[in-house]
Amino acid sequence: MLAAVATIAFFLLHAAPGGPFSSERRLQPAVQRNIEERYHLRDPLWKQYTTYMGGLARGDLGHSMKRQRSVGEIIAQHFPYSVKLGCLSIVFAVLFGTAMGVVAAARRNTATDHGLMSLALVGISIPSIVLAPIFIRFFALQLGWVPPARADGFVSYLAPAAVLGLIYAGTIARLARAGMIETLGQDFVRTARAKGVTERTVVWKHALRLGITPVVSYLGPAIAGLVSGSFVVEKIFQIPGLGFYFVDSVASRDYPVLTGLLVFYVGFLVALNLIVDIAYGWLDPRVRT
Amino acid sequence: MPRRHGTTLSIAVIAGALVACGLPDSEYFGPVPAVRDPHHLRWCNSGEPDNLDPAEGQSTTATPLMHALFDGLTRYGDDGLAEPSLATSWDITPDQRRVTFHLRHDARWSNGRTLTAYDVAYQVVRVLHPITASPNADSLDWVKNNLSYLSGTVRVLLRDRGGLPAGTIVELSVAPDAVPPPDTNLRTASRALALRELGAAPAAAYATVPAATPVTIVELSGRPASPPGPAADRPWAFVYWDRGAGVYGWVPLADLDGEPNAAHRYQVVPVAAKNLPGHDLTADEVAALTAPAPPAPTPITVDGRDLLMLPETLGIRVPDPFTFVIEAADPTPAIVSTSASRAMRPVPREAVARAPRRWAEPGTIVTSGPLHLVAAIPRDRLELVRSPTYWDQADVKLDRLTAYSMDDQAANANTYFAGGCDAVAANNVPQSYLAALSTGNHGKPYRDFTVSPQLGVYFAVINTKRFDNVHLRRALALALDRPRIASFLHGGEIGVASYTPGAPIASLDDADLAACGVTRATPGVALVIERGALCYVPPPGLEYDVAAARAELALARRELGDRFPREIVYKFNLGFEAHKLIAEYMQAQWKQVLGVEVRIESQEWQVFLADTRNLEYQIARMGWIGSAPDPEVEFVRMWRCGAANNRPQWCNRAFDQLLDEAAATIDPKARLAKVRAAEAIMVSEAPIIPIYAYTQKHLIRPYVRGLAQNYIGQPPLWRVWLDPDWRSQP
Amino acid sequence: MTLAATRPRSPARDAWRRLRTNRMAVICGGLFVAIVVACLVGPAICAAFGLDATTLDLDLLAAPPSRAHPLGTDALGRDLLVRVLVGGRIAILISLTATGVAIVIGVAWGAIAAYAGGRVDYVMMRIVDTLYGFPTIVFVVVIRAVFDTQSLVSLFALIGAISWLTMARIVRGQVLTLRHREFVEAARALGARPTRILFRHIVPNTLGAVIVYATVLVPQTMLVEAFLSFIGLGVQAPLASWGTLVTEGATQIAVSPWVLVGPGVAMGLTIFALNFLGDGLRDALDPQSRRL
Repeated sequence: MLAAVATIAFFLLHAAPGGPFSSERRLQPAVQRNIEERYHLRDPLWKQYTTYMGGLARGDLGHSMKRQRSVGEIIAQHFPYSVKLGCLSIVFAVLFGTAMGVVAAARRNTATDHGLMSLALVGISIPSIVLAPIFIRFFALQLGWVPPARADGFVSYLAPAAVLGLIYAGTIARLARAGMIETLGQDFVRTARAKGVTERTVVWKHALRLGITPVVSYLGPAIAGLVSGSFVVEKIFQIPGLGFYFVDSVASRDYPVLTGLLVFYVGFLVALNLIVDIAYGWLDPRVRT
Repeated sequence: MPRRHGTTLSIAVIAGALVACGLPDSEYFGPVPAVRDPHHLRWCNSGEPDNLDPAEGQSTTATPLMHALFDGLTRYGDDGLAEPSLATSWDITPDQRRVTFHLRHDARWSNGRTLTAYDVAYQVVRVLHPITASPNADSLDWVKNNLSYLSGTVRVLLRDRGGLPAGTIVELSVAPDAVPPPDTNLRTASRALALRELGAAPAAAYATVPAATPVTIVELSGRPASPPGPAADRPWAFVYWDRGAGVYGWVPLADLDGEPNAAHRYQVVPVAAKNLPGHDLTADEVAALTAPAPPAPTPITVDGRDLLMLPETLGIRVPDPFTFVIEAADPTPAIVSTSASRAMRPVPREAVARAPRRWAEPGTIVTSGPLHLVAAIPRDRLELVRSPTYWDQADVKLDRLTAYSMDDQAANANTYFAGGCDAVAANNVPQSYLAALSTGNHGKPYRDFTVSPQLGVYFAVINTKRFDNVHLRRALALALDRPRIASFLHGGEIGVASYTPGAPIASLDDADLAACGVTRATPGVALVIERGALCYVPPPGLEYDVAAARAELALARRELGDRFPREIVYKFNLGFEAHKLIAEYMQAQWKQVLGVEVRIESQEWQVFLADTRNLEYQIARMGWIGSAPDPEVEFVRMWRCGAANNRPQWCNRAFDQLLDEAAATIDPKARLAKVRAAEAIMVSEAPIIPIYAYTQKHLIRPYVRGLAQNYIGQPPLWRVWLDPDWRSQP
Repeated sequence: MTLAATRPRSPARDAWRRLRTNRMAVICGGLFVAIVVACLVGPAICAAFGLDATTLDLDLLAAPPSRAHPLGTDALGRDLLVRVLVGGRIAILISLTATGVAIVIGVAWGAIAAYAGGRVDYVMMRIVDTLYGFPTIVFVVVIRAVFDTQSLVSLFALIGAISWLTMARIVRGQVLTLRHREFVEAARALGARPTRILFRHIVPNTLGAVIVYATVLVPQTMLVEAFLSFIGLGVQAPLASWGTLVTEGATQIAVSPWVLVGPGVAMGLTIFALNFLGDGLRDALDPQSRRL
């Protein structure tokens, strides 16, 4: 699957007009030729392809044509930012969303329930492109609580993570609510209630673990969706994560970077889905056997 | 319906809060923070520098930093003109073909070594060498034999052959599209090569080339443009080994015992007189330049072992460690000002040789300028500090410079507002902020928002192969109300119909007015080249004139008949809000004045560049910013037939002829007059439609002192300091 | 079992009745319709007041909401109210057509896979599974940039082409259960061709699920279009959509917040209304899958 992704990206990019080295001041033919030779751009296409796939097999993601760094270096330097942002966003989303969903489930069909679910829906309905600038204006420029841009210390991650988190909190809230309601109707809960356990303990101690399984299985696609959402947030908040390099490598026809990032991203997703499956199994004993 | 109301209410509240809570009126854009460190400048750069190596970096994000890290023979002063730096004085020959620079003796690299003329020569050689493939090579397109060096066709004769003495500079006779002949500079060694510094012991090698691996000779010690070796009779060779990203090093020439192409035979001819380094043209030779070309001399045949491409084939010489000579094939008044540009800033050979592509990073970088690089975090920031080895410590006020690499204009402005940086790089203020910045201080501009002229012009290019009818082009030019465009751009831009940019004539002082030969009441712009001495006033363009536009259109319709286009497509590149605004304005204007239908297309930058170069466009947006106040080199020469950046592909014999004559003229005023006549032809034929002269917008905190605002957008950053007592002396 | 004295109730009627009792869903449905109508006829009404989308009011550049311009003006002096309405046309058009494309592809894919069964089903569904993991947004970005198509048609075709996966799964699930019902056996016994059975008999019975998912797809595609416009690969000038308007507004939030608020609220309300309506439809059409 990784190979397929790499291959598709490789050929797509090469089909595009414009090479990696056009610039406003056009170079003399001799200089242009030299640059192309340096990056093997004059080799026949199949040869470039096999060189590249061979490198991939060895774990060498290639070398950027526009920047003096290897793709591996780029990932190593910028992935940490994306990870920090992503983790904080997931924490926001899960905490906030689960809390909303569980409370709504516990107070089913009351005003609290409807209110929280409407709030969740609002979170899903407002795109990050709209929410992020609003946050910047309110929290950064008017209140001055967080910086308006740049990743400079923990505080600067709060606003972007909140933006990203709120969007997923909505879906998580709905899933949590559905899961909790189903769980709260189960036999073992009825048993616990019959035994005289307080409602609060029933909800938060007994039912929660099972009730949030839909949330866990959603985490996989959520993190996947975080990538495109994070691009917007990273750009508006100017956080130097990997999202920028995706789009930039397309714009500048930096073939190795784009294919390298795609391969890395897909690999990351595969690994993540594995973890989610394991977590699901841990949470829901019925699935394990 | 409690839920619905709740939601709508929350949306309305947020919306209301935003709209109602506008930014309060204040004198400055954003609350002015207190000065924490008077010698630390936090600068919001316009993006991440592409490369700090003067041979590779091209962008406006890198250039001011490069100028702070690497000293030059001359440097850009506060006014944007070249002033002496490494070179304390220079001599220019009357025919303006040769400049001899005299270097100071106290300049040092950050590793302690004295900076010599050999370092200057090394940079020029490096920029023009085909292996480097430097994108800045065209800054040096006037140096003798630069083109044949770049294409690897110039050689020096090592021994007397065919009637020519040893040391003659020759060119290989190769047909232009033929397969390049085998490289005479290729060598191999029967034993492993220890690449090291000049004169060092083999044990000090930093790279070892395996036996029988080919390397390329770049320089030989002891020759006219190269440093002397340890012993005059045993020369050393500076070679390149193509391993990974490449590596260079010195080895004794005797170690290179294999010459793969020694016996290959080459056809060579001596270079023309005007390309002969070290030679002054005689009166006959000057006359011969304009006479019809004589028959080409017969080539002689020489073996590969007698030919080598070396730096001396270029017009550069280093007679002693503190004298640098550079020669041009044609009279070139711009040599001194070009010596401030990146292509001529010396680089440290010892650092470059070890890591040619990555030496300019913290840890390996060696600098000669007022500041030194200590940190470079990709897409985050760069940190520069005062360099203790710089010779002009009195000129340096800054101890630390932090340059933030955000490439989003709005983020930069917001960070400035919130107190995160002290100044925004010139011209990086977002278009959409300009209206608010010009009126936010009780209807007046904020006091920290200023506008200054810039040496650049924004214009539209017309594909002359598609629109070959000059009346149609003129009609399009005459139908645009430029001052209107400038007014909604809110950046103090000056709408111009003339092409070469300059400062508004009304803003010049009396001495410059006299030099320009105009009065303050004259409309338009003028380019001051030398204060009070040399000035260039561009010829007037096709000013807004509805009647004339319609008349030209009628002529065009008559001449074109059926071929008159039903729809015209205007293209611009994505990335800047202003392009779209201007495009939409022009679309509306052409419709209204001429009744012509215009469709707008935007393209991603790469595709846009490719398409406009390949004539796949009708009308497109273009901008050009000069790096020196030289109208001929920076602005007018662009439009020669077949020139690389001549996107309209406009060809006019009279125009080219005038420029040729100008190139051969020595008297600067006469030369400029010819350039002006050429520009007049160009403007009247309208292959381009000038729209406005760029201005730079600045957001600078009131406590920042010494940040120059000059024409070319290159402030000497090391002269900046912050004044904690700024309130007492605004 | 007694004979019903009233008219037999069809599932559709039942669904409609259930929907009607869900007041919020009805309101949201009405809201969406109102927005669409406003976008269609609004600009004409505004023209009567002298407001249109292309006139540049150079005296009131980037002005906050006022009597002359109820939503303010943008940096070029264009009235925002009309721009939001006109932008809505494009945004809604793109999302509706992209959803249409996704429906066509998804329904066909899922139905064929489920009906054919066996190897064909396996291969087709594995393809869907693989594509699920593929970063489709990146794919769209690459295609748009590579082939540099400016056209609107290619935009919604492309968006639709990445949005059909879940639709295929849903339809497949539905067709699998319907495959063995009596009316299908009857049709087969009568000798009808498989494609006829599939598309004339089975697919219409999946319509409920398709409609539910479609109301969720429309806002999704709207968000995809907004994302593409944010990168600059979506709708191109001179056309404007909510995506492009919001992108413009995002950069000006510090100095001209109304440029973002207008289209932002319009877009948010539309998406919210459609999501809520989708929930309501799901409850109405398939009571078993109630949100409880």
